[in-house]
Amino acid sequence: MIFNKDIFNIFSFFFKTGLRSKRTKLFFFFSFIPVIILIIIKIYEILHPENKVSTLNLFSDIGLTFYFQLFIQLLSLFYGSSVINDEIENNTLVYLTTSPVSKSSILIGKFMANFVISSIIILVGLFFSYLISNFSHFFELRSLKEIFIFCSIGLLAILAYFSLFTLIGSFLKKSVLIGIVFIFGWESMVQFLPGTTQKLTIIHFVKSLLPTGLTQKGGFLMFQLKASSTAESVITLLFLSILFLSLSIIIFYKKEYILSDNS
Amino acid sequence: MSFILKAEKLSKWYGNILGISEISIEITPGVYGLLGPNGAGKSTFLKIASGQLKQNLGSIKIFGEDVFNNYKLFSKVGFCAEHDSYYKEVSGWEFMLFSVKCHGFKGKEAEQAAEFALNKVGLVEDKSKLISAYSLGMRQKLKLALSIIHDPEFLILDEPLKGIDPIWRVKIIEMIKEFESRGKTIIVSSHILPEVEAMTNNVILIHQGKIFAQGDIQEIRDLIDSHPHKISVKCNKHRLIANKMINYDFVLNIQFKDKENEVIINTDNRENFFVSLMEIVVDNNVDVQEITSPDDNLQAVFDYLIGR
Repeated sequence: MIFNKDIFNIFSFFFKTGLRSKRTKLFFFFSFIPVIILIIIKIYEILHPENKVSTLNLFSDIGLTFYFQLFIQLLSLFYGSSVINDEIENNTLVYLTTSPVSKSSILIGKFMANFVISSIIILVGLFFSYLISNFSHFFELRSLKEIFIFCSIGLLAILAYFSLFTLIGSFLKKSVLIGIVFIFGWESMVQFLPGTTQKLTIIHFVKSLLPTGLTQKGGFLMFQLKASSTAESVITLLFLSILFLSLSIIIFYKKEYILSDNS
Repeated sequence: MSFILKAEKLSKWYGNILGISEISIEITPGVYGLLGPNGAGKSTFLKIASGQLKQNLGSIKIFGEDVFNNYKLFSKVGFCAEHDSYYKEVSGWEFMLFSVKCHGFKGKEAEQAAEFALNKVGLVEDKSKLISAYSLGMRQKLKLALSIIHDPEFLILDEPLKGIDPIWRVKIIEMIKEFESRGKTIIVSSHILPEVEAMTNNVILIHQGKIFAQGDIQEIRDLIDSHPHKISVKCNKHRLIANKMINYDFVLNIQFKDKENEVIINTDNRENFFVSLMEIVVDNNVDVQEITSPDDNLQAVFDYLIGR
């Protein structure tokens, strides 16, 4: 019971402060870039119905690519790695570790706060992108089901990337740099390799979950993809999330963090 | 006898750099001043004592328990860190409430405890401001308030008076003494001797990572007073002062800086020196601009004690 109360206390503090941070405001702005583009195209589509521009197609080309190929990874990197790293860089870890709260509660509480903030940023952007693309039939059951699926996949993707970057941030100082190499180096490169090598990335399992039949124009998103089954993808992403988060807790518990100004 | 803190042959390195070496201390209730020049190892010792760092060798126990990763201990221990760090988007009040809730306080009880601690350090009126808008002294006071918010049995204060104005220095020293009067234990680190002198007679001198001396501050004071001191006097009659001073046996040597109207006198008896200086100044109507003691600091004392 005390364990839960401590986690909740840590969560609510970092959730409130996280929402106010400049980083959150900046990422909220970025998350609305596809929404703004889609609004402009939608207006163009309404004003010029003779042109064959469809926001529905653009949702998969712009929206899905932006969120699932780039934004989820970057957001998870900055928020995930900051769970521990921010406390070390700002020398504020001392306030947490000299209070009668276990290190696992500290990490889980802050992880949850950052995860919820990231999820809100992504899901709000994703929701509005879909709403604009499917404005005329948004409240149809098929549309509601589809947006639910996208949001669920988005959450699963954030969880997996988030856990990985929390782990990296718990033991490496330059976690953002390493994360960028991972996202734009490893994950991007391996997508172009045939065979089972793709399964060594998180993006493979995320893409395997995305509906392929939505639009034919979304093909490049699925480049060289030999999709895994839905069950395999979900289980793998959940397993990786739990594994990375557990390792983060163990490292945070064992590791001695040397803050600056030692004398 | 049960000790509040007991360290045995405590050693810590940062790679090849020595932090502290074989420190053994036993602490019972009272106020202890941990004195040493910058870089002596005071903060390293206090960081180990507050569970932030893990020793390489030796052991440390507080209330008979190991410290590192023993989070439950901090319901009885308060710690005020040396470095000026804070959460930027948070007000003093929010931070206090968060901290007090970490100590298990709830609702009204939490608010009362936060208010009480802020009141102790004179921050109640500024509690709603963002910490980033606080001055260095206010942030230091906030750290102090955080360390006492749960009324701990053992208080570890690393340079607690840094950046605090003289009036509040006195009040905080009084607060520390009041803590002591309630049977609590306090370790205060400082590199400023008079600060510690105002709080306690029990001092631990730490130098180059080792305990150099331990005991009553008066003995340290005597050592300081007997070691040769340079005293600089800037005035309109600096040569006259030198002429009068040379006759005293406590004056070891004299140097001049004519361009600055300054005389630098080396003495081994500060008390007699100042009495005589005042007499000369008054008798000869000397207009004194400045009197400074360039080596009246702990580093000079340590240099003297270790025979450099």
